[in-house]
Amino acid sequence: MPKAKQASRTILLTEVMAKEMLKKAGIPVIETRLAKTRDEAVAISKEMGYPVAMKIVSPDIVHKSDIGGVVLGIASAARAGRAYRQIISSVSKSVPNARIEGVSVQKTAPAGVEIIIGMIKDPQFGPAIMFGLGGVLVEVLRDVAFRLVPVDPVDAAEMIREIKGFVLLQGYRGQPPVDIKRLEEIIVKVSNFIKKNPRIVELDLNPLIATGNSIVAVDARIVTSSQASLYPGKAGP
Amino acid sequence: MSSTYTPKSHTDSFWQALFQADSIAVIGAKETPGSWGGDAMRACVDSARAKQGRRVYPVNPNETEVMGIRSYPTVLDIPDTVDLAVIVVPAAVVPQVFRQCAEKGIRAAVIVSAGFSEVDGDGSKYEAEIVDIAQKEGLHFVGPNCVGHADMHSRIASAAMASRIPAGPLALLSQSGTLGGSIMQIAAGRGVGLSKMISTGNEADLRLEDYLEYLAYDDDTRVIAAYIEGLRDGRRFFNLTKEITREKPVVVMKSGTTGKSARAARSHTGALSGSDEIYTAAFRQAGVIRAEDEEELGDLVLALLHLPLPRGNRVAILTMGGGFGVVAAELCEKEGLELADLEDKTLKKLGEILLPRWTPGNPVDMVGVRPTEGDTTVMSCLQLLIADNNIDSVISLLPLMIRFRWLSEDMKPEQIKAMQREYQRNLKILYQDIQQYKKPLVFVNRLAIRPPESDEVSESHPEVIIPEYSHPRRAARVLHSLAWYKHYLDTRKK
Repeated sequence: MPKAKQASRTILLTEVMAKEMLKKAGIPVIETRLAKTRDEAVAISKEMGYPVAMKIVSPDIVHKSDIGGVVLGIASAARAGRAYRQIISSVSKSVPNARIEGVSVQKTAPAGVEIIIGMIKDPQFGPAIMFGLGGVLVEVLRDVAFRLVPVDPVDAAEMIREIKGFVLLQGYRGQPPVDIKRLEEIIVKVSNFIKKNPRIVELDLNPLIATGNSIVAVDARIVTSSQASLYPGKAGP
Repeated sequence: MSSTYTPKSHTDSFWQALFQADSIAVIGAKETPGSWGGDAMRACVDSARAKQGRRVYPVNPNETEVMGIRSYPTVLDIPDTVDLAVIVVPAAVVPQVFRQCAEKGIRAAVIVSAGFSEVDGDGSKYEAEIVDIAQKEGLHFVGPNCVGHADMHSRIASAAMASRIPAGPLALLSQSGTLGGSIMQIAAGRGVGLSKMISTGNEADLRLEDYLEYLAYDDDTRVIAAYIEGLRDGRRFFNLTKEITREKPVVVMKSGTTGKSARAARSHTGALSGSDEIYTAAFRQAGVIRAEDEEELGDLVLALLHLPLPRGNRVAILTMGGGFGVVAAELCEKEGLELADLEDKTLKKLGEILLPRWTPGNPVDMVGVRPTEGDTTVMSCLQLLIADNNIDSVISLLPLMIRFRWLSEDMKPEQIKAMQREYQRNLKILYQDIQQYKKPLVFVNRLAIRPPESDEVSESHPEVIIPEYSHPRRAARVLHSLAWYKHYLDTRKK
């Protein structure tokens, strides 16, 4: 049967907006604030406490680090000011027409296990949540588990234990174990978040950093669609 | 049940017509055996013979008679009501004859004909036409491009391949006609009869999900098996199976699992999610048991019909000879089972039965025992293992009665009959133990040793069945799946 093609536009939210949405849904994100000027960037950095990271905030830029849009490990006010200017000038040169909202300032994440939680919309089954270990090897090893939304606590517990890397979460080689219960809660919260926001078509929390006593999303990407549909296999409203 | 389900749809006259038809028209009926028209006609003639009062009418303008029955030029010429039409004419003619079916007031059709949306050219146009007629006139159809359907309890079939399959508790849905046939044969070969079979074809009108919903409420069906290539409405399948699996096991064989379909996505998640990952997630989350191939599907169905679900993964193995035991133990662990530590009291009792040089442990190796006629060692060992609190399931690498075929050749018929009776009696005792302790037992018969057969007994239906598999890997996979299913049900209790 011919399916009616629907014109739907997708938008990549800025990192600051994405994190704001997630925070409201009770999903832990690292403190991230928008600085619109150099002075603001310096002031926010000081308030958060060094070291901080800065990233370009623009709806037109997908890969921030490729064009000099990210500076990490900023340890002083002088460096914060320089980082702001450097990011703005570098991005403006690479993408002259990009709409630049400013620079996000965020706390430097503690060292820990990198985790990815994501969501895609399958044309047949609708939204599915993915869980796995994050980092550079995630796409190579494909050590991830999927469950359809709604993911309940039992599903979440199972998907965490389904990946081979589960041993790393249990405290491998003297590392403190990750709070698995908390991780389960976060997965369920992400599932609920997706259910409540049918316009979201893609989500990546990559990475979340898990230490012995905290789990926090360091980077977040949300793509929304102009059409709200949980199940893209069926026509939207 | 799910929100999409309306009880009315189950008693809808369509389903009645499909599975209980009193009057069937075969449009495109032919004499030629082996042709689609000939096979469909043969199956429907058999259906008419199977039930008093059921009529079959060939429709073929080029024949006056097919298989000794008067043929009509069109379905409208039949001087009787018609409940079900089986259509086997070329695709280009199907819209026309289907419209006549609607005009005749027929509620259900099985469109066997191929040449629709599965081929290039006008096929899609014809398919759209028949869908349109069905929707406007309020009738439903199976197919097109399928091998037909069958209900073994009401003995009605449009699929010739179903004619020799016994009635039983397994329903089969297949998105491939030939594979469906193969699964039916495998099931029947293991003594599993069928309730209903539907070759779903192109699913232009009714989809696999619709049949699944019907089978959920079908009292003749205790286990549902499906061969799936691709679902039209995955979400509905998921919601349905999530409910159904609480009551009836659903076993699925899904093909198309090796291709990594990269999605056009900007996210890591998108890059990592192939279609198989999502199907796998849906099956696990809905309690659907997955089979890798037709053989495993048959293995699982047999076990689900005859065995209780184990409480866990701990298995005990009974063997004669170390080699079989070691290999079976390794395979069990590879398939996710755990070799149980037997209770001290079990080891002690086994020690009393077995020879002094027996080494206590699991696998239990009946080394050196030469069971003679009337020997009960295997039986006693199995009973002890089933009763052990540390185990959840048992694999016996020995048949219940060790009598080699060549030894039985000299036996008198009375002796054979006596042995058979003893075998059946012991099997029944074991079966009761299995049910009482809720622990599945399966036999693995690697030497193809069988109790002597006497025609009289082997032809009668055995009172109890304990599954027997040809290889320990198959036994291990089945037990692991059963344990998984039990765990699934226990953790999803509502």
